[in-house]
This record gives sequence, C-alpha cells and structure tokens, in this order.
Amino acid sequence: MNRRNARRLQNILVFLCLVVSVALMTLPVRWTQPGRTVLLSGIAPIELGLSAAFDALAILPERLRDSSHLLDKNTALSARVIELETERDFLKTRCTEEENLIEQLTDLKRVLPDVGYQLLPAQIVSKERVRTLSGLMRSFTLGCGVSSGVRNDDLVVVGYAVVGKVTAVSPSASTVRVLTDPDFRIAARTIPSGVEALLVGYGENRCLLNYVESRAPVKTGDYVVTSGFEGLHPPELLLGTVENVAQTASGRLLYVEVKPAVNLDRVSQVIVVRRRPAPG
Amino acid sequence: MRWLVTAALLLLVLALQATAAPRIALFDAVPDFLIILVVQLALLCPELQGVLWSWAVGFLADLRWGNLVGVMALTYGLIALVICGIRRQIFAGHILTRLLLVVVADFLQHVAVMFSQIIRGQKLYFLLFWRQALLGVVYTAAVAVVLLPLLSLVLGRLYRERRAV
Repeated sequence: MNRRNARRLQNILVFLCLVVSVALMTLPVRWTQPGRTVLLSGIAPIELGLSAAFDALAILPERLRDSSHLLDKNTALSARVIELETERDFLKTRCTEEENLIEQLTDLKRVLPDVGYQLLPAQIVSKERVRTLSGLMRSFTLGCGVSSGVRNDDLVVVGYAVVGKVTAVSPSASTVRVLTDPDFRIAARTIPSGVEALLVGYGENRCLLNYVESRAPVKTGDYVVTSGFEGLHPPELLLGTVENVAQTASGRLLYVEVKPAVNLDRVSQVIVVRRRPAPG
Repeated sequence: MRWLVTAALLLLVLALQATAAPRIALFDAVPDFLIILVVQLALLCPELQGVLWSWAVGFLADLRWGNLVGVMALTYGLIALVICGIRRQIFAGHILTRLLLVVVADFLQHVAVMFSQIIRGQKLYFLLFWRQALLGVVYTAAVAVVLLPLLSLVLGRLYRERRAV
C-alpha cells in the first residue's frame, strides 16, 4: 500500500514538473529575469575560474615554445652581463688610476718649484718595443701633443718618479723615450751621498750613472734623483735606486748600475712636466 | 550530502558547457555535456530524483542561455522520464547502450529546440540547423565516450547504496 502511495506521489511530482515547465514557457521574460540574474551571479565565479584555467592550458604549448627562446635569450644576456661586469671592472680600475693621478698631481704641485713648470695629465695610447742596434728598446705614445703645449725633452713622470722624456711631438700625440733607452740622458744626483753624475739608459730595465769618480761615496740602495742642473727639468724627481757599484777596469771611475723606479708595464697614465714658455 | 554533491556536479557541468565546450568546437559543432549528464542522472539516480535533477538541469540551462524558460526543462524532464521507464528493459550498464541513449536524447533535444523556435516564430534555416545539429550529436557522442565513465564513477558512488536498497 505504502509503495503504491509512493508511486502515486512520484507520478504526481513528475506530472507537476512537466506542468510547471509548460507554465514557465508562458511567463513573460521580465518574470524570469531575476532567476537568470541569480544564476549568472552564482555561476560566474566558477565560469571565470574555469575560463582562466582553459586559457592557461591553451597557451601552454606556446609558452613551452617560448621557453626555449627564453633560454637562448638568457644565455645571451648572461654573456652580456659578464661582458658588462668586465667593462665595469675595467672602468673601476681606470677610476682608481684617475684618482691616483689626481693625488700625484696634487703632490707634485706641492713639491715642484712654483715657477717654470706646468703639469699635464696624459693617457698612454700605445706601448711599443722597437728593435735597435743596442737591443730591444721601449717607447710609448701619449694622447697629447703640441696643441696641449707638450714639447721635446719634457719629462714624463708617474708620481715623483721619472718614466722618460718626450722625443717627438705631433699636434695631438707625443712619443716618449723611456729611462732605459741607450739614448736617454739626464743630469742626476745620488741621495744621501750627493754625487753628481749623468744617468744614461742601458737597455732592458737598467740605467748607468756615468762619470762617477772612484772615490765617490756611492752605495747600493742610494736614491738617484734629477739634479735640475741642465735648467730644463725640475730637481729632486726620483729616477731609481743604485743596485750595483763596482770599479771600472781603469780604476778611475765607478760602474754604478741603477734600477729605474717605475715599472712601465703597470703604467697607463702619466704626467707631463711642461716647461713654461719664456715670456715674450 | 548526495543532494549537495549532485548540485555541485550540475553547476560544474553547466559551467563547463559555458566555458570548455566553445573552446573545443569543431566545424561550429559544440558538444553537449548537459545531455550526457541528463542520461547518466536518469540511469543512475532513483526514478523520481533522476527526473527532478534532469528537469533542474534543463531549467538552469534555460536560464543560463536565455532560452524560452521551460523548453529545455520540459525536454530534459521528458527524456529522463523515458529513460527511467525503459532502463530496466535495456542493458543500461553497457557503454554502447548509454552512447545510443545519448545520441537519441541529443537528437530529441534538437527536435525540441526546433519546435520551440517554430512556435516562437523565429526564423529557422532548416538544413543549416540540422547540419549543425547532426554534427553536434556526433561530437557529443564522441565526447560521451570519455565523459560517461567519469560521471558514472561519481554518480555511481553517490547512488549505489540507494539503488541496492
């Protein structure tokens, strides 16, 4: 009996459903609009979420393809980063050198006699090794010339130490003969012994002090500086240190070997000590 | 709990119909996930619940797609009622039977849509309509091969005890 009632109730409900459907069809649109709005606002978040998921899935193959391009790009950028880091390090070194140069200039200005000399910072453009009759000689070129006031025989220094002399000048460049060149000559004096002599280049990383009497009190380790007696260069600029003292075969003079104060390999910027042109 | 899960499933399939179906359209034919759900509900739920849920699916579809409210509800309700009536006489557990039911139900649904359009006086390009409809039916059947077992898994687990009783 219960089962039969349940069956009857079921049939009634199904019938009601169908009747309601037909009734709904006759309703004006404005009556069903609120239901539509409620459904849309309820289902919209789910649809949006699914939409986003499907969009992501749809572009996945494209993303995978892009990722290989990105890897290539990344490799290229990594290389560029390394390149830029190298450049940065180089510029940092240059910056430190510039700062050193400014410091040297300031010191030199303080030390040098006020009259007669001007200081000009200069960049070494190139370093050359020239094979001559007396061996492999070194020289270098500066990026400044006559237009900057550089003249032949101007001294070139690093800090207080002499590197060489200007031997040829063009409007925008000058060639410097280094201290060790056999053609290099400059009036010198030893400190503290105070012996006057002529410093000449003697090939690869060596100079000699000429005309030193055998009785002169020169010792190994003495400093050799410019004497300024020629009137061309300022005095007291360091040339090197005495490395070896020996008697010559004649016994009248001393063989004095001098080690230059500056290692040219480590120099990239120098100061040209310009003689001021005579007034008038 | 059953009601809740079934309602959630219903909303999910409705959302899938709105979002996923247009994305996998082939030659302008869109698979109908809702009719697959209706067939599964009619086969796996108790009779009354099957009809009521199917009616609800149709009602929500009417509201969602702005049809004449009641057309799809009536169609799905009737389809479910017929399937519930014959499910004891057919091999309802077999996938081919279910596929056949999906095809027939989808076809009937298109017939209902066609009549509703005629009744409402809307312009109907008969050949175009049926070309799209038949393509849709085939596509729905293809999708049903995957979707039927999935729905069967969920609904079967939900309504197994009830049916055993």
